[in-house]
Amino acid sequence: MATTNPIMIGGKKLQEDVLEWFSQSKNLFLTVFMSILILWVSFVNKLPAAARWQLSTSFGRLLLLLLLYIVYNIAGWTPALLMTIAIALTWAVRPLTKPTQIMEEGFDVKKTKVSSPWWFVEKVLNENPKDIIEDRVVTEAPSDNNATKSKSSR
Amino acid sequence: MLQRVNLLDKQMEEYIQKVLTILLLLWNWLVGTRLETPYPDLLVEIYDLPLTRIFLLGLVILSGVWCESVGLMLGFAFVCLGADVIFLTS
Repeated sequence: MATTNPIMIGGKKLQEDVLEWFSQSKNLFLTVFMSILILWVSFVNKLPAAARWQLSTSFGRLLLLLLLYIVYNIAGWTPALLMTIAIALTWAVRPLTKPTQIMEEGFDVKKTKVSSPWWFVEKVLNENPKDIIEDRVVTEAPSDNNATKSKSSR
Repeated sequence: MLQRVNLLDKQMEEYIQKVLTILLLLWNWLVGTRLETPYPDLLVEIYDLPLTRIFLLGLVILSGVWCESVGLMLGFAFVCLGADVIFLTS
């Protein structure tokens, strides 16, 4: 008895095509994911301090552990081992204090493009400026680094 | 005859896996988890190179595929080494 394949049209066919493509591409996804994990582990200390801090907070830790569980269920033992190493190293190199943006004192040089037409003086003196440089000096009052426990001394 | 050779090979493989697991466990116990015991200078020096780190990670992956307990111990040793070197040198 000859068996005939059912003719699939519309959404069902698309669904089958997507599932087939996904199953064929699983190895590709896994290779890309493993490469990202290897880069993550190899250059973990190059991650921005803010990212390392965020990944070490309560929410970040929970998120990473959930991701690890998902990776183990989908990809298996080896990627999960690699991800465990990545997570452990990320937590190991977290900053001790919350990273803040510190404004450094000094000159702040700002360049502005010259708009045409020229000034009369520039035309007369045949000057041809390309940029205008403004110098700004940023200063701050001497203060304690610790914002919560500020003390005054005499 | 072939079956006996295969059985011997399998027994030998299991024996090697157990020995390696115990050796790595001892390494983790005496070196990895003890700050007082210094790592070999050469290991610290070559860990600074990204290629060495990638090579070590490849070793962890291959050992994890070969034997889970060896992969686990080697992975733990890698984490301890990485954390100590980054913490102490940065």
